[in-house]
Amino acid sequence: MSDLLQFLFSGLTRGSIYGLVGIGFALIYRSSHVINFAQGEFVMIGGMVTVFLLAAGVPLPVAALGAILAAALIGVVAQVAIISRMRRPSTLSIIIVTVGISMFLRGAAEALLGRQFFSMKGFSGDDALVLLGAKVSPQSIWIFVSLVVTTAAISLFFRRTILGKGIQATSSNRLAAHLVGIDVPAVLAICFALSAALGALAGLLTTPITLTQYDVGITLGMKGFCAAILGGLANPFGAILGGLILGFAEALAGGYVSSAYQDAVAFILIIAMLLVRPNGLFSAPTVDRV
Amino acid sequence: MLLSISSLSCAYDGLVALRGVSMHVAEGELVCVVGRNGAGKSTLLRAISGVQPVFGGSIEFDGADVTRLASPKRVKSGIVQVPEGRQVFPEMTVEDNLRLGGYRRRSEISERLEKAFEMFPVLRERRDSAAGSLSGGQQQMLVVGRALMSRPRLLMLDEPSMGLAPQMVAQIFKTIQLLKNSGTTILLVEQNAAGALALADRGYVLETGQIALAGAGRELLKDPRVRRAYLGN
Repeated sequence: MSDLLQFLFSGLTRGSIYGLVGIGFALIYRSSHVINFAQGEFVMIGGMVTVFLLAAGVPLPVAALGAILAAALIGVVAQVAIISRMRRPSTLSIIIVTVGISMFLRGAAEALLGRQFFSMKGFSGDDALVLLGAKVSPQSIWIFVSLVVTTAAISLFFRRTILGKGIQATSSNRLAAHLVGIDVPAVLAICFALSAALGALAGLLTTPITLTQYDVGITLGMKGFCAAILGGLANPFGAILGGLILGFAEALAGGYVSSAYQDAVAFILIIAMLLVRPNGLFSAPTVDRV
Repeated sequence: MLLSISSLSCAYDGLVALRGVSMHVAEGELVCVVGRNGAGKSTLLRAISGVQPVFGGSIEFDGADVTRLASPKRVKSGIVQVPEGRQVFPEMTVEDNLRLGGYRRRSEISERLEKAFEMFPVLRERRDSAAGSLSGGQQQMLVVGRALMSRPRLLMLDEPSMGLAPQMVAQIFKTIQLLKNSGTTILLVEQNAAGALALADRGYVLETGQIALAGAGRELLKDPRVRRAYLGN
């Protein structure tokens, strides 16, 4: 019983991180029908920048904010300077470009920082709390609370602000979005900034637990992608639930089967989803009426 | 002159769609452009809205050159288009669709929303439905209402009657007449030449990207060439 609880806490922590990364995929896919395979690199940037700002003596909240802003800025630059300038972009060519951006960012991190691991202290220390007989790191609580706050903020943003509606409109009908006066290129850039920021948030939250290295983005990017696929790609809230499902599935597989197969769970889930429900678990089938 | 276009040329899909088109619309006028499918009517409106690149000529709106202005700025200055084919935001609610029409005039959204509901009561009844679930005629009302949200100085309508039942067509033309009477400047593109020319102050006939004829709406209706080509007699 306490084993199960332990696995569930672990699943919740992982799942929250995957969800945060997954929202980034969903936001960009939703607004521009692009799958941004550089999303994982923003997770790495979030962790790295925080670690280095902390080492430079910057207090944690400022360091975290700085890392999020740095990632958002890089996201905007990638979108404005590269992706938006592609002529006659096809889905495949955009995917290749985002893979290229991700390799560039990873390579730059390797060249600048080397291959070693970097770590930082948990936000509220590293002493585990005991909850119902299971050990929980205080960082896990930070992660889960961040996911809840982020979800609420995004939900408010889409439901209550005209900019949020503008993003939905851009995704729904781009020509009509232009014609009501939405600055579509700006909306796309904002989505990249937002996705990069959420990726960075996931990265800086998880660094005290998992450490960070120049190539952590590969695995976390794939897991976030899996979360988004489970949730239906275009649905940010689906991505959060998808992330939690993946997190629990991994923790249970790692606990009861073998931790060697843990990472395979994500890929099995992606394949199963694409075969069985390609629109995701939570997406209604698309309705078109002309 | 509210809108003046001189020697406008542009290409669509690699083909020249407009060649040296010059035309104008005065404040308060209802001007219609008729022509066959593929004559360049939609391209003309798209170029005026700024969603279609042009390679020659100029577009002046209210005395300012807008030829290279980005489309959101044109909407802000009052150039608003109701595109062909009822381009709603299908998954979003009727109310959200209307609100988005006020994207460039946010302070007036609630007030204009009320006006749109008064003009099209059926939209109020369906305000929480997904726009994609409305009938074709209701969607047409929705896109007209959405365009009016931004208080346009020039309202451009692209084939508003296309694909609608005759009863709906009559209602759309009645709405256009009402808008004109209330002082809205309208540029109307129609394949339904008879209906459009009867309503219009002036008209242009567009053929293969060039203005073939221009004149008062009723005179064009009587012109033998127009009658032969567009009215079937």
